[in-house]
Order: sequence, then C-alpha cells, then structure tokens
Amino acid sequence: MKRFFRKILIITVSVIVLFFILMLINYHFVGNQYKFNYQASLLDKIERLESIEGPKLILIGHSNLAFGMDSEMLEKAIGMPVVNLGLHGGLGNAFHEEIAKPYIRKGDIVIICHSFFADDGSIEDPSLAWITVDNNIKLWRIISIKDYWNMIKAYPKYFRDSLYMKITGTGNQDSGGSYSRNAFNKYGDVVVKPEEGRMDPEVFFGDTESNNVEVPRIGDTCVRRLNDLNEFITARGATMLVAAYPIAYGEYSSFDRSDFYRFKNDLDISLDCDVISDYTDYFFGYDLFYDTKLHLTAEGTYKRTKQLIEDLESWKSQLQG
Amino acid sequence: MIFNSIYYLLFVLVVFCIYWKIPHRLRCGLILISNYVYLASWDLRYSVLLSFVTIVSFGIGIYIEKTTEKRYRKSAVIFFICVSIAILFFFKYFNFTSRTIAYLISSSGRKTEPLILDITLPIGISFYTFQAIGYVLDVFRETTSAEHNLGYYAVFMSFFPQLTSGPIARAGDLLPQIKSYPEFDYKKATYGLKQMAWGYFKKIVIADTISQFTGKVLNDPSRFHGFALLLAAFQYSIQIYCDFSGYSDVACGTAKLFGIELTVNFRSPYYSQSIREFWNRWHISLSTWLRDYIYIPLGGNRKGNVRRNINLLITFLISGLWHGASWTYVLWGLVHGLAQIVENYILPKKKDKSSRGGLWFLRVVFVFFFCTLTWVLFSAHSFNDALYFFTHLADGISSPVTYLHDGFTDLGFGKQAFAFMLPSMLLLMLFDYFNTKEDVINRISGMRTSVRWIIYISFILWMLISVPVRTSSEFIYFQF
Repeated sequence: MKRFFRKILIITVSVIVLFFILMLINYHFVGNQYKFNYQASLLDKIERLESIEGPKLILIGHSNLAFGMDSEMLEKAIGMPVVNLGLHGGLGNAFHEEIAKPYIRKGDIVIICHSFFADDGSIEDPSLAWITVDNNIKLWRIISIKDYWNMIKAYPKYFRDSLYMKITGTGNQDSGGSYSRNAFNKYGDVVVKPEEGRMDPEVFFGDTESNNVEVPRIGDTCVRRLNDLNEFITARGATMLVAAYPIAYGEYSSFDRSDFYRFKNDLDISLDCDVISDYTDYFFGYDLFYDTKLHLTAEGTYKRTKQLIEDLESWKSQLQG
Repeated sequence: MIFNSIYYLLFVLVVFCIYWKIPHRLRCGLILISNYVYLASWDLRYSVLLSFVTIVSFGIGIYIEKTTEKRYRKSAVIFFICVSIAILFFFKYFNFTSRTIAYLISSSGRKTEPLILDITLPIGISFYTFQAIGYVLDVFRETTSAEHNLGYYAVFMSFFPQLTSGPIARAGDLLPQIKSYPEFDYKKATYGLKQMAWGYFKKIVIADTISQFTGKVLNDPSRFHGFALLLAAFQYSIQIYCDFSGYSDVACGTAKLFGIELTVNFRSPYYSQSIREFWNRWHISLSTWLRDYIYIPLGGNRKGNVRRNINLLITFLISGLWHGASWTYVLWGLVHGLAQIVENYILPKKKDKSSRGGLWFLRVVFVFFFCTLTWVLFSAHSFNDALYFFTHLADGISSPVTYLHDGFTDLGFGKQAFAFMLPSMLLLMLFDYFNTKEDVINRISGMRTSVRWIIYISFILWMLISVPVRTSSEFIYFQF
C-alpha cells in the first residue's frame, strides 16, 4: 500500500512540476505572443494609472467604456485626468474592479459602468484572462484565488496558442483594426473604428439572438462586492459612483423606460454609493452602435460622454447644494 | 459526479483509502454505501428505482432456484422480463411510442397530439436492467446460482464504476469477485491507474477536443455541406469511440483499484476487418449480452440461413432500440444487421489467414468508413438531419481542392487544431494497433525504469498541453 501511495504521490508531484516547467518554457522561450492584442491595452492603462500623481477619474467597466467614451472630452469638462479601464466584459466585473484597486488614491473619483450586476465575482472566460495578463507576472495579482482552478484549466490552451504563434511566427496580434492595442489612445479609449467594421444596425438589432438587450438583474454577490469596494475606496479618501452604460433602444426593444426606472431604483436601494445616471438618458438609437449592442460609434460616444458629464455636474452641484 | 471531474477522483481516493484500511467483512458494506452515494450525487430518486430492480431480481433469482417446476420458473423469468421492459418502456420509450402512434394517426388524416410525459431518463437504467435480466436468465439456465445475500447482490447491481454506462457485468464474473476478499495487489492497482489515465486521455484530450467541431454540425447540419459534413462524420467516429472506450477504461481502471476485474468492453474496434469482427470488439459486454440472451435463444445460426438472417436482424434491431428511443437508432441497428447478413454470404466463415498487408488495410479502412457513415444515423437528431447529411455530403466534390479546403474552413478545423490533434490521433492509432497484439499497458510496465518514466512524463506533458479548456460535462453513452 505504501508503495502504491508513494507512486500516486510521485505522479501528482510530476504533474505539478511539469505544469510549472510548461509555464517556465512559456515565460522564457515562447514569450508574449499577445503583446499588441486588444487585451494588452491593459498594460498602457495601468501605466497611465501609475503615472498620475494627483486626483484622477477612473472609469471601470466593460468594452462599453472602451468603445463608448471620449476621455479627453470628459477630462476637459471635469478638470481631472481620466483613465478609461474599459476592457472585454468576458473578464467579469470583479476582474475589472481589481485592476484599479492598488492605484486608488485620495481625491480620486471611481465610476463603475457595469452592464451586468448579477455576476458571481469570478472570471467568465479564463482563456481571455490569460491573454490579458499574458506573461506579465505583475498583472497576475488581479486573479483572485477562487479563479485559480479555472485559470489552471485554461492554461494549456493559452500555452498551445502561444506556442503555435511562436512556431508559425503569427504572434503579437496587431489586427490593425479596432481590436488591437494600437487602436487605443493614451486615455484608454478605442479611437480606431473603421467603417468596414460597422454592423448593419437594422440587421443586427432585428435579429432576436443578437438583440438580447434587457434589463440587468441585480445579484447579492455583486452588490456585496461593490459595497465592499465602496468601503475600500472611501477609506482611501476617494469616491465611488455608478453610472449608466449605453442601452440600445428602438422598435425591437423588449423593455420600456419604466423597467429601467425600476432598475435604477433597485440599484439605489442596494448600493451604498451614489448612482448618478438616469439609465433612460442612455437609451440610444440603433444607428449609434458600432459593432455590438454595447459599442458606440463616434457620434454615440460623443453623446454618451456628454451625458456622463451632465450627470457628474449634476451630482457635484447636488453635493455642493 | 461525472467521471472526468475532480470530485470523482477525490471520491475514488477516499473510498479506496477506507476500503483497504477496514476489515474484510466491512468492505462490501462500504462499496454498497459508496455506490448509492455515487448514484445520489446524480439524483437521489434514481436510487429508488435501482433498489426496486435490485430487490425484485434478487427475489426472483431465489424463487427460480428454489422452484423445481419448470413452468413456474419460466413464468417467474417472463414476469421479471416484463417488469424490466415495463420500467424501460415507461422511462425510455413511452414518449417515443406516443409520438410514433400520433404520427401514424395523423398520417391517416386525423390530427392527434402525442401524450408526452415530462420524465428524465434515470442514469444507467438500460445497463442495470439488462444486467438484472442477464442474472435472472443465468439463474434460470443454471449457469449461475442465485445469490442469497442481498448485500452482495446489491453491490453487484450497483457497483459504481460500471453503474452509469457499463460494462454490463455477468453475475458469474462479478459476484465471486465481490464475495472474495482479495489482498491489495500493487500490480493490479497501478495497472488500474494507468488504464484510468489512458481513459482520461481518450475522453478529455481527444473526444472533448473533437466535440467542439462535431457539436456544431450535429446541432444544425443544414448550416454545413460538402466535406465539412464528411469530416464531422469521421471526427464523430473517433469521438464516440474515445468517449465511450475512455469511460470504459476509467470504469475498469477504478474497479481494479478495488481488486475487481470488469469485462473488457473494447478491443481496438477500428482495426476490425469485418462488421462481424467490429461487433466482437465494440461494446463487447452488450454484444455478448445480445448474443447470449437474444440471438442464441432465437436459434442463432443453428436453424438455417434464413432463420439466422432473421435472428441477426432482430438482435440488431433490439441493439438499435436499446441505444435510444428513436427510429434513427433502429435504422442504425438494422443497417448493421443487414451488413452482417451480406458479410455472411461474401466473407469466408473462418478467419482468412491471407488477410494481412494490403488486403487487411483495405478491409480495415472499409469497416471504418462503413461505421463512420452509419454513425451519422446514430448521431442525427432526426431522419431529416441524416438525410440532409447523406444528400449534401458530396456537394462541391467536382473541385476536390476547394471541397477539402472549404470543409476544413467551415468546420473551423484550422492548421493549429490539426497540428495539436495529429500527435494524439497517432498515439491512439499506435496504442490500439499494438493492443491487438499484446497488452500495451503491461508491455510499458515491463520496460526499464528509465524508458518507462520517459514514456510517462512525455504522456503527462502531452496531456497537459493538449487538454481543452472546456471539457464535456457528460459522456455520450450516459444518455442510454
């Protein structure tokens, strides 16, 4: 029996050691094959976060921010440097929130623009998370312990893809379009939106499968986490706010304004921080969307930013009054 | 608790540790509890049905043994078979029958809605009812004696490694092993571990990777045409083999950890030279069950060619129906039955010694092609899907290069997927080829330590590299 258990132990240790060897091979020999991928813009966003000494405005959310915010316009209007942390929603809300945490300082304003509020706090797509953190070990801190197992399971695919790109010389992934690191400006906004990448809004929103715009559910886990984040941010002398995301509204919509009034009301009750937007102000026509139900065109981005500025000013005046 | 989950491995580890620590007399009880815990992890209600089948077959077995008058013994057997079929019918075939009847009535001009029951198929039902029927028939034929200890018998009926998808055990094989108290056998246990590892490789690395491609086609074949359909069919052939034989390897490997040998369920079936041989190598426990309890009692090949052919067709029709409540399964079974009838006329009865080299290769390729095409019937959601498949298989074949290129592209089976699948496929082919000659696991175990560990480490490394992100949460044969 002892001999058998020894064998099991040796095999288990072998598997773990071999796994680490794979990671080392990837780190030292395969290298960052996603260096210019859309997700790699996180490195620039963090660099900007680190570089700003004084109070700043941090935008946390999904790609609705990356593809729907004019940070320069916002910065000029508010008078504070802006960092747009918006990235792929498949990373999950908690991942996005975790990015900003170490860089929150006194006087900062953190605006959460999530488009879903019923997550369980885990990474939705671990393969995407590997592409995002890539071989940049300092970013691995974003991964929470509860995601470790899923991340370990997703590592082979990440390794395989990286190895294949290394061997075939197809790595680094600069697509040249909207979905590459070079498409972002210094604030973290996607500014490259070629016309050929644009969807036909009538076709897209006319299809019930792609037009699944609905009122988000609010889950306890998400609320608890956001309230904890608010506590953390407040303790650092900063302010957390929740603002709306762009909502495609038109003839194919399955909801009306009253649904989003109720939603906002529920958020107000659940969250300890202020919800500064009226979500119905963010109802935009289908023609303002670029290539998904959450990504805006340049015109849509302008309108959304303008609305956010109004919301922030109104919040400020309420605060002063 | 699915086989390819960490929970199953932990469950096996815990039961294993306790099993070899406790006194012999308590082991049977431990396995029985483990079996029902395992079953309850799927759904507690399933254990009620299994208990019912177990108790009824146990009682009938004793009754048959104690009764001397043949007609009473026979009545008891018929009664039990009727009960088993009634259970199977209710859970598995009721909706199918209802739909068929409604269809037939509607065809005659009267519109009728089928009565559909909202019931889920209890896991393993087809396997353990057949196991119980086999036991009762064995007792009736006096090839095995009735078990008088309900505990032992319940373990035989519910042994967790083989409960969900077989192999269908025979009382004569499994009961004596349950009742004996073997000492821990290091060689057997390590063999079991290696067999489990090989099973996981087939399931996780090959079947689950392939399922990402085949799934798209099976869900909606009308989105594809030409070589994409054919490629998906070939892939499904490999997938179903790796899925089911992978499961069987994990089951047999787990059983070996407890000192129990289960029936070998697969012996390199895609190296068969005939359909007949294929069925001697594929799902062996079911094939032999059908042979012993249906084909031979019907008269087998003892009553002339016409009767033999009819018996073959009936046996394969039942085999098809056993697999699923759908006419596509029935047709799949019938096609295999017909193929064997044709083979009986054109192939020599005794094994052809000259069938090596080129001829051997051609035969193996032919059988693989035949099985691949018939798996289309097996996997199709409906007749229309199968029909679409066969009628669009050759779309665009007039330009072969485009035909092949479009097929790979449409299926999303790119160079990278191909590059990483190829070594796994070659490994599978080599393993199965050498397994036709000798037990590969034993052969590797007998090698020098350094060579052996190079093989183990390479294997683990390859598994770590090749494992897909999303492993399937189920095995194909669980649905049966």
